[in-house]
Amino acid sequence: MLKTILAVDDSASIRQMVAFILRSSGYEVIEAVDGMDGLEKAKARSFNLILTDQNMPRMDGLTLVRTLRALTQYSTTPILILTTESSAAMKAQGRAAGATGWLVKPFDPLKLVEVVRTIIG
Amino acid sequence: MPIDMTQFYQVFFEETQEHLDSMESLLLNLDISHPDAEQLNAIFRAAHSIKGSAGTFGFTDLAEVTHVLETLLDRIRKGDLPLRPAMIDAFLAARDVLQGLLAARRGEGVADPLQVAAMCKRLSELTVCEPPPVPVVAVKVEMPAAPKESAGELDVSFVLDMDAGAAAIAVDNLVAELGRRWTVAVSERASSVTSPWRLRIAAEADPDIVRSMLEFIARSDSIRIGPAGSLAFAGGDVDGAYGLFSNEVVAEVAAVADSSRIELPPPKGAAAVPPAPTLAVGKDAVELKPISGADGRSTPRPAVAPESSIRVDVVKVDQLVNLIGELVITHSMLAQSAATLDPVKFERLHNGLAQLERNTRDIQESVLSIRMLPMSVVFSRFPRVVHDLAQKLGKQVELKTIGEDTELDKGLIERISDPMTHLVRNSLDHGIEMPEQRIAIGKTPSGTITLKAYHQGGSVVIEVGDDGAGLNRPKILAKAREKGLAVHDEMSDGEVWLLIFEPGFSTADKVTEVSGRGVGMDVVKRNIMALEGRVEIESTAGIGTRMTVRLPLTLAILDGMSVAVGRETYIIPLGYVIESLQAERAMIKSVSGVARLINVRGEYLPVVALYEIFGIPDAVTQFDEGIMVVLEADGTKAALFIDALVGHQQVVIKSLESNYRKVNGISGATIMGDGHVALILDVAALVQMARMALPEVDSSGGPDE
Amino acid sequence: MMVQHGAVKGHDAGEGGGQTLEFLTFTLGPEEYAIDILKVQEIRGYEAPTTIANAPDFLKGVINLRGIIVPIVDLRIKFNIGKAEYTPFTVVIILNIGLRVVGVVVDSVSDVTMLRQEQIRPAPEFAATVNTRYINGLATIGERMLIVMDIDQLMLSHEMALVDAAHHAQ
Repeated sequence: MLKTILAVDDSASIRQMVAFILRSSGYEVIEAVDGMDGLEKAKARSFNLILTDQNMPRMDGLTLVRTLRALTQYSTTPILILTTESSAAMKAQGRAAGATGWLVKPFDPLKLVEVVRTIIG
Repeated sequence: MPIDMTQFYQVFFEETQEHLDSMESLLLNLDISHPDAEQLNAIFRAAHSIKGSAGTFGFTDLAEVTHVLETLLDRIRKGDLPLRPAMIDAFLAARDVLQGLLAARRGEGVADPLQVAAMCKRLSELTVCEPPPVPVVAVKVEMPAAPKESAGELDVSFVLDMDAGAAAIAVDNLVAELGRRWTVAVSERASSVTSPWRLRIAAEADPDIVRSMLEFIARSDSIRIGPAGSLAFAGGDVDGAYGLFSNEVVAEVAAVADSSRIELPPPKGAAAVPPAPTLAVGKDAVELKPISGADGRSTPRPAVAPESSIRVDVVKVDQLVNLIGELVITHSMLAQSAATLDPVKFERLHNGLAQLERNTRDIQESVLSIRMLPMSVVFSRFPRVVHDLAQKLGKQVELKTIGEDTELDKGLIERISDPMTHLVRNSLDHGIEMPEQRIAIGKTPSGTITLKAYHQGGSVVIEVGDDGAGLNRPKILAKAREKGLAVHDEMSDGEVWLLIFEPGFSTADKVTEVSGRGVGMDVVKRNIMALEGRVEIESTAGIGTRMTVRLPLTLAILDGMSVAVGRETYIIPLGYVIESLQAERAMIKSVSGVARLINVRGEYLPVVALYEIFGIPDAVTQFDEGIMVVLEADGTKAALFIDALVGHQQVVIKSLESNYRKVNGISGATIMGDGHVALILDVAALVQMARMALPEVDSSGGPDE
Repeated sequence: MMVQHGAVKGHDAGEGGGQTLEFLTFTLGPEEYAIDILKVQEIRGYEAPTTIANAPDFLKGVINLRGIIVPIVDLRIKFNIGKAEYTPFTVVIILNIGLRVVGVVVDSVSDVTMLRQEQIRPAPEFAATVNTRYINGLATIGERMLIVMDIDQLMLSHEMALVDAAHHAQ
């Protein structure tokens, strides 16, 4: 069975690109347009990995991570935050929220696949 | 795996355009003295989003400007810097620069690098206390204690933009070139074409120069320059662009994975210290407050959200509109044939036809609604127009918009935008007074321009109102005389105001760059008339002026009244019809024995007998035996004499000119239920004819009395 | 507006060397006319058009041709020949003139005839009712004399008043 990834980003271009790359690499990808949408979709089914943007309307990435971590279903699922910030503060926040790792935007699409492969194979 | 990034460009262009639009309207709505935190956040987020996507797609110029913009916005929203009017102007200018860059990326125009640099500089200067941050791709590093750091030296990493064959020579040349200026060493050779080279350069090296030299041979998005030790070396983490937090889950996962590519930091607990230096690379820390509350796009969105819309060629929609028109006609033909059939015997047929009619009407409405867009599409440009113009003229103006949701045909929306802009500029330029003048006459220093849209019958009404000085009657009359126009002092205000739509008419004391060149208002009127619309003016000295534009809902469908004259059927656009009545002999007055007037509740209106001007045989000729339809066009009323009213119906407008020619008194044609063609009357022309027939009569007094 | 003047296409005849062209022939009173078949969209029965106010008498009005508004010209009235009566047998030739669609009423349609280019000879002045300006030439087939009409020129001319003055300028 295909491994399934939830890609959460309010930027349609980035989201579509991420989805395209991951799909081309043999993953099933479900897209969500913001944290709220991501949470709904995450609850509706299960995912092997969640990729989320940080800065989004309605619900940001950190809040999504915190909310998901509170659910038994997602207590251990890998979650990566996509962010334009690679600052220490950002990472501390991400870590505190329970994210598994981060990816700095702009990123190399191939790098994304590499990271995803590393985490979920 | 080669990835064609261009396939995502269109989406990027669209979302960036949305961000730019929302940024603009947010900026214009911002209260400078008490900026709303949510609005600031939303503006920040728009810039931030553009930066993120632009960087990803390699649109470095866009990323560069948004980065500087974002940095400044971030400091403002955090309260580090107070918001100043100059900032709003700079932000708006930056938005325009971004718009230009976006257009260039779309292939419309050419980007101006100097403009980009100037904009970045202008924005940077607003931060006052700090030098501008470097562009987004130039990740400058500010790192706490890092083990590998050698004081002051620079680490450089980059991926070559060429094949392996050329690479060795290119790097040799680069090193030689850099070596002429500074001490340079290759720290790590690339293991493959796509992996990075790493250099270490002496402290005094200028990162910008290094970068510019690298640009020739390296992929520009791959260039990283930072203090020695700040760039991740010797691990898989190529440039610190990603990493994993250490926790058990990851440790497990990563242990299985190829750990040579991602180096996991040693577990450190949840302390708020940066993770291992090998992974922690970043520019100046920008702390992001989680954004709470509502969607930042708090301003009304002109169009539906892109997520749920598709782009369709208008030609396809028009084709659909035409086909539905045909369907309506086909139905009518069937219904007419069926009308002769026994309703009991053919009950199912009749029921079926009734159902078909409902369905057809629903389809027609749905299809027409596809072409409908809200007025906000037009209104949204005015905050900026008003802001810029008010600033230029030194006036204070508040813009109010009412009825942005009012829908209008897309074709009209596109073509009403320019005339509207003219009207707004005219109000601002000629209507609204200077602040000191306003204060002197007891008004608030800030004037108000109100844009209002609403539906009325089959039309859309758009008003442009101002609380300015009002039109100056003596001045307009004087100007008209100077221009040699036929005017007299007894003209009604309405007629005088309409003079400003005469070609070459301008009453501005001084010719301003804005609207005083004497071109425009006549063009405005012509453009509105071309849309089957009309414009009216109301004005009171010292109180203000209101220009009212009436447009049909759509150019494709017309709400019409079908009337009979002789054996012919004509359609009168309902928008012009005020009332219809059966004339009594006593109401009819003759002038000079020939021309006629009708007294409608004390008002004398010229009568246009359609049978006469169209030469229609076998028509009713006695005024008290037919029907008078009172019409109004261009502020003038007339009564149209016809045989009988037939009905009220929506008709699909067909051009008479595509295969024939313009006919005086006829604006188009339509196809009736029986398949026959009916002509649509050009009411404005007919009223004009009525006026011409009675040159000496004005409607205020009764003749022959 | 793009108008193809006399863009007569044909096929090689083989014998005689010249091009063979196809023409639709029709009668106006005693005269027989031929027009390029490629200009003809269809031939249909006459239906009463919607009259247009203050139009010349030969402009009978406009009809609905599958959703488009098409003007109908009665050439019999225009050239004052034949009998302008409308019977169930009266036909209308629907023409494509440039991008426009126009219907013309004639006495009757005869047939479709092949003519070789060299069969069409220059017309002498006053050979026909129709002004020679709109005539490409004459062709004789046995007893028949066909007047080869330049229907584009005629339909777009000022005297037909089918086109706005602005179009003439182009």
